[in-house]
Amino acid sequence: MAANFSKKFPRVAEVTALLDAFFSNEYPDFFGSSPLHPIAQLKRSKVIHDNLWGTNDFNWRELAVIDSPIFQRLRNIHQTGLAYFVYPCAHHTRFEHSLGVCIMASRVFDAFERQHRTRFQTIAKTVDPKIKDPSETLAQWRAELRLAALLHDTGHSLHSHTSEIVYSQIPLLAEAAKELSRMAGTSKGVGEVLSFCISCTNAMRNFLARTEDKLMPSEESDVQVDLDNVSLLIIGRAKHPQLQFLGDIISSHLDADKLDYLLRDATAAGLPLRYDLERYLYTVDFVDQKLADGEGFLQELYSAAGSTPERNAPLENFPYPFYNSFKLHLPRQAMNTIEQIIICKFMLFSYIYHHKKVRAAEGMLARLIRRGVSSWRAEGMTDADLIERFLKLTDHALDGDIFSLKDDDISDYRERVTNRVLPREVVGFTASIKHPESAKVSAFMAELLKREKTKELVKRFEEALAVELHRQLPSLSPEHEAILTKTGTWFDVPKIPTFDKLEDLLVEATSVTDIFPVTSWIQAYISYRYNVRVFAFSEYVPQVEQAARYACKVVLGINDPNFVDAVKTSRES
Amino acid sequence: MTPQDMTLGDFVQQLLVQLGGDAELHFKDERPWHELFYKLKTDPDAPGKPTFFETLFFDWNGAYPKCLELSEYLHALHWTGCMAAANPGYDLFKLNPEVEALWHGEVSVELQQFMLVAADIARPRLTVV
Repeated sequence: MAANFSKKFPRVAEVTALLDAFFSNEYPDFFGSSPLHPIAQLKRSKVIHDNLWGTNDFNWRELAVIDSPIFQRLRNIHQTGLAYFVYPCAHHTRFEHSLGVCIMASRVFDAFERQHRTRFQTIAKTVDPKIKDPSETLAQWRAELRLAALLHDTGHSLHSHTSEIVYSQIPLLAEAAKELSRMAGTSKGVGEVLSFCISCTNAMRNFLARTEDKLMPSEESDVQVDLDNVSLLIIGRAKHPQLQFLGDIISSHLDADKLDYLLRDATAAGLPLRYDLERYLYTVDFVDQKLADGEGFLQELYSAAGSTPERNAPLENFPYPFYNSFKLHLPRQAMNTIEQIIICKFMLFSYIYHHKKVRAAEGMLARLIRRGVSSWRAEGMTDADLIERFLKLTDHALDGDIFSLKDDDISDYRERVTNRVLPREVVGFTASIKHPESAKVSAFMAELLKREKTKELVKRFEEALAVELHRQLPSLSPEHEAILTKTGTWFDVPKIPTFDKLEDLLVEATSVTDIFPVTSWIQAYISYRYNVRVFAFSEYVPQVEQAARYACKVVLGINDPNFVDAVKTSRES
Repeated sequence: MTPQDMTLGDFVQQLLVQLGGDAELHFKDERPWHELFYKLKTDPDAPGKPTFFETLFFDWNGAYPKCLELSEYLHALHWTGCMAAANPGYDLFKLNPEVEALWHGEVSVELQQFMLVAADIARPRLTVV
């Protein structure tokens, strides 16, 4: 499949090729031309016990992946970045999360199979009319689903999403993300690019093929897997539209990823958030649905994956070419569970991801990593070199020398991060503030959320902060950027929690959002709880507060000189 | 503002201004919005058509094309208070007049021409009488 795509999606092919070279050079014992591993002969399966999901079997193929350095490095990448500065027990990592997603994905699959075995077998025969034993096909899908779940986060780097916001700016990866979106016919980020490309590498494919030969003589290998389908599942697709529900299990609004991380993050942080998993598994279903394909992306995808499903012409009441597909579906009886899952996600944003101290720590770390990238660029590193570096980095990087940058402005950031000397929130406001000039705040926030303008507007705000700081602290530096860095000052605009695929989630032929206005809940919640903030090192808070007054005047056009004080008062009361 | 520097968010704002502050528009059901934008993207180029349409990406994950960027921005207009959706089911939303006053910006002649055409196409699709 990768070969079929290489001309059409050259950046994705380029990233895959560079990862291939990187793995064979970096881990020659696993992925090189004369590999050693796996050394010991493999048992058919082993048990791994998880604190959330209990005792679970992993088969020989999964164990080989788990024991490979590509997966083991996830042990050193915290799932929730620096959230452990606020929730001391939130030390869980991408490693156990990936195992959890694998367990959840197969539980959803098993629930399907238990309840809809006959329909399942019919789909198997539709996808491949030549098959003799549909049970084998179902076992293959299950194995592919579990492998996709294991591999879905292998592209992560240090402190998870904190570094992702930095490496997502590497032009090669940004271009590849656009290509992958087009390939999948659905928006994809750089994290998915890396995980997808890792699964496409010859290094990984050869490793898995070799692993099969290492089974103990007494053990039989189980089903074969189609690694192309594994790669497609990672990006929420499948090799045939009738298998779309499998892609939905890995990447959709109520996917296995969410089923794991909601509970794992909440439990690790000690938060009493729960959802009814038993109910979810009892009710989860798949339903036939037309999959529109107006721009022909899906046609290209299925063709490259080697399948030729029938693409239907538009109908009078359906104006796009379409495929008949099966999508993940939850019936009306699952509504309470859906609500619980959505509320859990809200609460995690409020409790953890958008907590002001977590934002302060991660904002400082992101600045340190960004400065690291600038200095590595100055040493001559290319996009490919940077991608390799991020794939080597784990959270341990903060303990080593790699971020001991010879840069006076930022030299103490690493010390501050590792010793939790965090910046303070100087001022923060929501879109729902009560103030005579609140329309200006609304217009500013709306402007800030235009994708192409966020960066520019943040820069304008920070520039205004720097102008006023320079006036107050002229000896600090003549350079505005240096003033901001030395005072630990920035304007923080967190990512908005999205529930973008909610409308696609069907409950008995109607969208979830037709049954209860969850999108409006979300918006009301964001309006009251989503803060943009100015942070600064404690020692500069009074000066930065004054600078924030100036920035609100010149950037937002707020005339009230007491706006910042009013915002602070309303929050403090 | 010109067709070259207009963003999706700018376009939505100007469209709302063209449709008039009194217009009540579909909100909960986003489908008309996405289908309008898909039509504007795929229709033959008209004079003044903003260039962002060329690269506007639509997800094909269900019964109609869906632009995540548009979806996020429509939601943002609501929760930032630029658009009000007070009806119990949040079916419709309406432009906040104080915000509307801040959005009357300068647009180039050719862009203004396109906005008039776009508003004519949008009116029967987005507004509810």
